[in-house]
Amino acid sequence: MNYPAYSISHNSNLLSFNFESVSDERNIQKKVIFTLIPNSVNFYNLSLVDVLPNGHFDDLSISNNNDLRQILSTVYECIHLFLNQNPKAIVLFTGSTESRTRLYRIAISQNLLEASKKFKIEGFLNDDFETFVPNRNYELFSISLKNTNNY
Amino acid sequence: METVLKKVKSSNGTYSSIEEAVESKIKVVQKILDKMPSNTKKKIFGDKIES
Repeated sequence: MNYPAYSISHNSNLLSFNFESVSDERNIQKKVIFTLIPNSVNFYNLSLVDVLPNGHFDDLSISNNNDLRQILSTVYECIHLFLNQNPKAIVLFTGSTESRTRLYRIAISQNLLEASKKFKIEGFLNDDFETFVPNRNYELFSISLKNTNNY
Repeated sequence: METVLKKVKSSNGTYSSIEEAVESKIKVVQKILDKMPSNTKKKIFGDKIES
C-alpha cells in the first residue's frame, strides 16, 4: 500500500494486533484479530473492530477520522506480518456492511499490481473463489502468500 | 448479504467481548462459505466437512 501505516503492537503469536486511528478530533483504538475458521484446514478470519472507551467492541461505527487509507494500509501490514508468521494460512475477510466490502474491493483493486507480486488474492463470487478481478462484486476476499501449498 | 449480517449481528454492531465480536464475524464468513460447491468446501474443511 502506498500510504503510511500506523504503528502496530501485537501479541506473541501474531493473532491479535492493536493500533490507534488518530485525528485532530479523536483517537480510536482498533484491533485486528485473526481466528482459525472452526474445522477448517488453514483458513483464518480477519476481524477489524473499534475498541470503545467502555471496553466494548464495535464493527459498525463510522469514525470519520479521514484516515481510511492509513487504516487499510495498517490492516494490510497486519496481514503481511500474520502471513509471514503463518505462511500456509489463508486470510478471509469481508466488510461488516456491503459498503465496507465495496471499500475493501476498491482498495484491493487500487493496490492489486503491487500486492499480487507477493500475495495470491481471490474473491468469492457466484458461490466460489476466483482470482481477484477489479470491479467485481465479491462477497468475501482471500489473501495468502504466493508459492505456498496452502491446501 | 445484509440479510446474513442481520441474523448474526447485535442490533447496533457493538459487542461486550472480543470473542463475541469475532464469533459474529466468523458466522458471516461461514454462511458465505456454505454456498460453495462441496468439492471446494472439501479443500477448506478436509474430511471435517459437514453437509
